[in-house]
Amino acid sequence: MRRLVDLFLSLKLTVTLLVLSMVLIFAGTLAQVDKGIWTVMDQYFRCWIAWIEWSVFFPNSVSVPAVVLPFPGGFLLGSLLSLNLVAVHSSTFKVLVKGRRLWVGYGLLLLGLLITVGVVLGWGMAPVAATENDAFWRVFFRLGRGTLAGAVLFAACWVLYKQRAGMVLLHAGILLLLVGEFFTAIFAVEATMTIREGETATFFDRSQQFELALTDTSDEEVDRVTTIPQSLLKPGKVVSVGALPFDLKVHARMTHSNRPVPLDSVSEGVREAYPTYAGYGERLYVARSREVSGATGERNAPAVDVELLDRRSGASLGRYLLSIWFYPNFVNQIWDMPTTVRYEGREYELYFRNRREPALSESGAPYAVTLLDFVHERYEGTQTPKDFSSEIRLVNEGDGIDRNLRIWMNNPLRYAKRTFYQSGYLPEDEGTVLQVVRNDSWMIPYLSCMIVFIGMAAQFGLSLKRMRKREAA
Amino acid sequence: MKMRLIGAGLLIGLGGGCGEEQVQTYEVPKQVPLVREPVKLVEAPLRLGFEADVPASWKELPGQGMRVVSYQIEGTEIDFYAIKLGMGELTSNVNRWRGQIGLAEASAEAIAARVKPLTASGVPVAYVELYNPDVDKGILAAIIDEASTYWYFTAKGSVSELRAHSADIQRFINSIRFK
Repeated sequence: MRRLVDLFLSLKLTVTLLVLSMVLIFAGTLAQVDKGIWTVMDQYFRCWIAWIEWSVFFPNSVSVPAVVLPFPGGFLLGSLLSLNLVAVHSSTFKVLVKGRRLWVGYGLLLLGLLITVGVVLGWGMAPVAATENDAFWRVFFRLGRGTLAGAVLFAACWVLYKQRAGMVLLHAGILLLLVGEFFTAIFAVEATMTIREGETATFFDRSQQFELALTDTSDEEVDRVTTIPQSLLKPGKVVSVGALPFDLKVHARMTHSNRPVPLDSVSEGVREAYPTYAGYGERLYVARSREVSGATGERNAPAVDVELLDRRSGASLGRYLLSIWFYPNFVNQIWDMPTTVRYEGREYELYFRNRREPALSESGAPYAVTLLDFVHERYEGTQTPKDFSSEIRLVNEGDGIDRNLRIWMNNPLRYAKRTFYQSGYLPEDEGTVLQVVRNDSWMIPYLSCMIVFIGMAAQFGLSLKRMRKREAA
Repeated sequence: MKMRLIGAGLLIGLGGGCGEEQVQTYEVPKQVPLVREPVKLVEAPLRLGFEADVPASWKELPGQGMRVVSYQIEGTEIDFYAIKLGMGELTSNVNRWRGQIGLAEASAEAIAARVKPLTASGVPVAYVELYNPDVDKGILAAIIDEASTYWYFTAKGSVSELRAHSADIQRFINSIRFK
């Protein structure tokens, strides 16, 4: 155990971890030439072991063996750095006071931690924090809240650690930043909400999670929806769900599929190799494509190739290519292409789509967002957007909220622990696309910055004072 | 010291227990379709200088001469193509097209009255439909002023075929996005 503690106390470990982090960031950046940013995030940074493809270090024109190297992932490096920081912190900085002063220090520390937790959790903030006018003041007040927490923590450090207060505080700020990023990686969720003018949305489309939705539309009053998460659609597996009268055999799952083109527009060779599909695949060509590059800002369009099987006989009921290209919210509602299947007198609509999440407030009450008006101004004589904004009505009957609000560029709405940003719009300005982000640790970077700033300023100030004192002596 | 290390380790390990995704079944009120296009669409390639939603029943043909691109509309003999020029005066162009299908010249006012204003992603479009049933010929044309370049989208064919595909052509023009 002693050797383990010594290892974590070592500065060599810090330097080694920082060098490994740089290598990982370098490889992850290069990997984005051929892969989407989210694939790279999962493969390199948001994992314990990263698998680095040797080919990322060479141009595509150079042929290199397909070697994959295991490497410490972002989580592992971040965790070891955090442990290293805590270990060094604990052994280097000792509390220098006793008695009453010690209790005063602990009291201030408790108060500082309470303020820190309050700032992170948004205590005292309005439940619907909408569209504060001035971006400068908005950021200024966030930093102000961070400064308050930092100042109280500094006071605690000053009482407990005296001249080393600045060093202690700035290390604590860095640790907070590392822990905050870890929580962001694990818990932050990105989604979109697409609404046409005059229409109401009650759900989000998760940006990075997908599902196969099979909707029984036979009933006149309600639709019965069965959703199968993408993670359960493993190639070769037969998925059997009690609510469905048939099974699904998964032939393939594609990270990215091409935009649909008429089947007769592809070469004969490609057409011959194309499976015989029912549904849209019968006349459209959609197949596995190379992932979009993270450098382009485009999105991957995942797809699944599934075959429906009669549960009793195992006979095929048709093989279907289901791509997210057919889902209206993925294509800004330019089209809507459900795959319709009829079986045993019932009708089913199939979509491979973004995972759908109901809009619920913190109390669990559902809420709805209606788009009242969408305004899109352009610079005169050009197509360059000058400003676009959404006038919305937010209604949550359970929590007694009914408000008209405006969301526009750089002026998001904060509600129910989510931030609604103006992100895009539908063709002909017929509607809006809001990016909806839930990140409970979003205040931590502001907080960490101010804690580190106060710590550094104190450290420099105290060092300067000591130097002047020595010079005077 | 040991306790602090263990504490930090526990904190870091917190995110490991995320729940696995599961199959769900639920009922929702009858859904109203968002958009149900009768024609399924694919997109024109970017190299043309514009993007557009091209009906799946159209086949894109490579540009030739002044033509940037042509489209073969399935089951018809319509000749639909795009060119771009540095000028785009409406009256003289419409009168030229009128002449091509055997119609007499018209005044600027009469032509202006027949122009149907469309927009291609916010850019104004002057769209005209000219038919001469006597010779069974027609022209559907759109002039788009894309800041110093004029795009001409022209469809020529029989009156019945043009009338049948007029809605698709207008939808195509509305969907044009210049790059």
